[in-house]
Amino acid sequence: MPNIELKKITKKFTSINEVTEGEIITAVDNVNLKIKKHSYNTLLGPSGCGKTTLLRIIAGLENPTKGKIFFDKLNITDMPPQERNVGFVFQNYSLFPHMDIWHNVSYGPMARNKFTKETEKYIHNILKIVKLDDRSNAYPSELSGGMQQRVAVARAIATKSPLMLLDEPLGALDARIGTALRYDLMKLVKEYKLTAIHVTHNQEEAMTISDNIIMMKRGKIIQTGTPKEIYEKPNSIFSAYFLGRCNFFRSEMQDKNTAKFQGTIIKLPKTYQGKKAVLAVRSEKIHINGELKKENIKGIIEFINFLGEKWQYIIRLSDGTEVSALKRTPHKAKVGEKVSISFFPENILVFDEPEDFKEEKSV
Amino acid sequence: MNYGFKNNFSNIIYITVLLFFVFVIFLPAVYVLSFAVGGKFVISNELFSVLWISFLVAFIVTIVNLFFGVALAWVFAKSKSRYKVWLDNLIDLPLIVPTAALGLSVYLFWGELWYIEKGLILIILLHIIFTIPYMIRSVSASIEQINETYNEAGATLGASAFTLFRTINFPLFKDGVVVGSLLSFTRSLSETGATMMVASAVTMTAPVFIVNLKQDGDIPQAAVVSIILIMSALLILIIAKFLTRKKHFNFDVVYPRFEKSLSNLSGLRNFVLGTFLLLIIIIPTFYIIFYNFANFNPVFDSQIFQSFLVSFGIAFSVTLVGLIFAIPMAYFIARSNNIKLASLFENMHDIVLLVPTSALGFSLAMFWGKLNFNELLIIALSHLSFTFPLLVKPITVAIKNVDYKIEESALCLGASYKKVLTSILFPLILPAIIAGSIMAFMRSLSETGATLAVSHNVKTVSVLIVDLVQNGQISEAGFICFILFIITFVFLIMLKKTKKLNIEL
Repeated sequence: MPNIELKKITKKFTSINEVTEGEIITAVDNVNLKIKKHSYNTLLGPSGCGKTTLLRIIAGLENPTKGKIFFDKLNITDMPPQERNVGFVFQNYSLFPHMDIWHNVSYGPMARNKFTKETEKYIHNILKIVKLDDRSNAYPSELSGGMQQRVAVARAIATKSPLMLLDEPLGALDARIGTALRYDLMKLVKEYKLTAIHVTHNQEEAMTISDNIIMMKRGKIIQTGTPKEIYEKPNSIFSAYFLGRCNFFRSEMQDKNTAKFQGTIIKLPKTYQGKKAVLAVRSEKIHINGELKKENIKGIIEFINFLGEKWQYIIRLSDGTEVSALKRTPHKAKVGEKVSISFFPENILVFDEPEDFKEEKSV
Repeated sequence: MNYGFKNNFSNIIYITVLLFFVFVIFLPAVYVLSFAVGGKFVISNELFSVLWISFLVAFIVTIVNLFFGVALAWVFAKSKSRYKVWLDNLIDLPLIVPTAALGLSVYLFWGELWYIEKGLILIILLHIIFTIPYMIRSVSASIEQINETYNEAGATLGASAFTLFRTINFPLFKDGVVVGSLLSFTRSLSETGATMMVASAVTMTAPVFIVNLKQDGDIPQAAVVSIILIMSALLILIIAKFLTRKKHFNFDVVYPRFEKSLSNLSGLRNFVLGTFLLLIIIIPTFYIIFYNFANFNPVFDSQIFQSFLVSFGIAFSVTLVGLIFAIPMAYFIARSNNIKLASLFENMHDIVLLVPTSALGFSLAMFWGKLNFNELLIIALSHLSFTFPLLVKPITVAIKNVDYKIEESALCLGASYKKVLTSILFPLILPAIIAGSIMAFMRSLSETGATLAVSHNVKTVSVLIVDLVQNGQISEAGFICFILFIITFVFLIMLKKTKKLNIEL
């Protein structure tokens, strides 16, 4: 079972697009990473952040421009994918259309000429676990998206590779099916004691199944940690915004412990050095007050969205800032009414004011 | 597809076009088949040996194409080199070079330079040249359809390059191989003009035999040969359709070490393929240019001018008339609600393409000859027959590629149907119209077999070349071929420019 280590991995592409021909694109920028065995890891980030490229580099489907990859201290940077023994699940499953399910799943052992009676039993078992053992003579085109995804996973597991790489495996599925299948994925990985690296842009998916989330933006790793760690202690505006809903108040510092936003004094949880700060507060920590207390932040309710198990209030502040507040029970205020909002100091995250706030927040 | 109106006018156009196709193109092409009914159907010994040679050559050529053509297509499709565009053009050249010029060039290279006698070997070497591009094109088109992630999946699962080729790629592009084989076989069976240059008095293929018979005035035998060739082509088409049905391939055994070692032979493979490409295909095709410079004998007499005039005149008028009928025909096949009828007509076009040109010419001469048509007109009509499908096919594809929703949105915005056609559809299919016209024009210019089967006195350029060669005036023939090469090259550039147009649109 390999511990995986990436050292200074960089990947640059030369654009062949007619418009930007010749331009050099850095897809992965000096990434250093350590993956513990038996863990379920998620590479999370917006489109184009390099997560899929990084995954493909680990698999050997792309060669890094710079840097080294180690599986259990062995340098495998120049090893072709055939020899790395990784199980790869593609976004569109890539099931061989001309082979039935049985031959798709047994392709790995067969191609390595390691197909024995024991392997046959093993594959039957896997198919049983993914609930497709009665469809082993079917062809991929006859199966639904969810079934194909399970075949793709079974095919990767059948190789007995200790490392499973998944490239947005749930991306092509209906939301409902995807939500159900993500647990199956996690259970399979735990049952077979595999190490998984799963690429997604869906933060809810990442939060529910990961032991460890690796957040990426523009080819760089921004933060790694457990879902709880990143959620409660994001290290940047990007991390705060990408994982969970967050409101930002761009404020000026009054002194080391207090900030001022639109005339309202806000006490901070700890000291902060600097003239300007961005205060971040999660949507569920925003309180809506009907009374317009002079000292609170004031705004007008723009939308009220009923989300089933909670209510979302979109409040427009006088400077144009949009605030999203989540409540379990509805507030008596209606659309168009003036309200004020407040929050406790311990729920405030403080960040430096960036040069380009829009860009920093952008996904 | 709701046209929004069922106007009598459009129905009239369709009926006219369909009748035109049936009576001017299709029936004359297959008219010779009527001789099978009630006529004398005797196969002489001479005919039998000629047929045997035709089929033997076609078979050997197809086998060679299977190995070298598929390998070349594979290397070509997988290549990421900058020179891919050059190779792309190079592969098409034997198809575009005038057939008589190609035949002469091959004869001069292998025959005079390497002293290979006219006969079976020379015919085979020639036929490989103009059939292999069909195999390469067909197979590489299929290969390019294969989703690259299948190979990536196979690689992560441990398959070596050769195992990937055998177990994943080949089953997926095998239909391209079948089509390529079909085209190679039938093209070899039906080629006339070039083969005339390399056939001997004793060893010849069936289409050449038809020309000889016709020149000797032996109509019944020529009819018999034509019928046999047409029926063989049809039979092979049916076999090919049958072979492309199977879609499932399950593999149970792989020999990893052996197959991996085969994967490592790619360097040797590329060397062998490169040598083959150069020595068998490219050099013999272009040899006539060198020959011409070595034996420069420019002739500019009136006969030659007249021949060029006739050839260009025919090519031009045939393309023009063809276009007038081809565009509505293509629209019918692409957009008709009556799918069965549309595909029937599509198949009829394929059949016309399959008919060997000398048989086609012969059939046409019989058909129109009964009406006492002028010889030039008969030649023009025969050229119309084999160029018409070349116009219809690309335009049909282009129309099919235009999402009908675009036309629908124009209609919803209030455009009249006529306006939709002229302002929306026509600009989008214009590159295909231009490309089809260029192909039809070049085909007409370069065609030899049908013209020979039809003409007595009128001399197109290709007929002139054949005459000159038969008279031993090789260097003069070489010069004319050289001129044709230059003209072809110019048209090829124009064709590539329209392909670029297509991408930009």
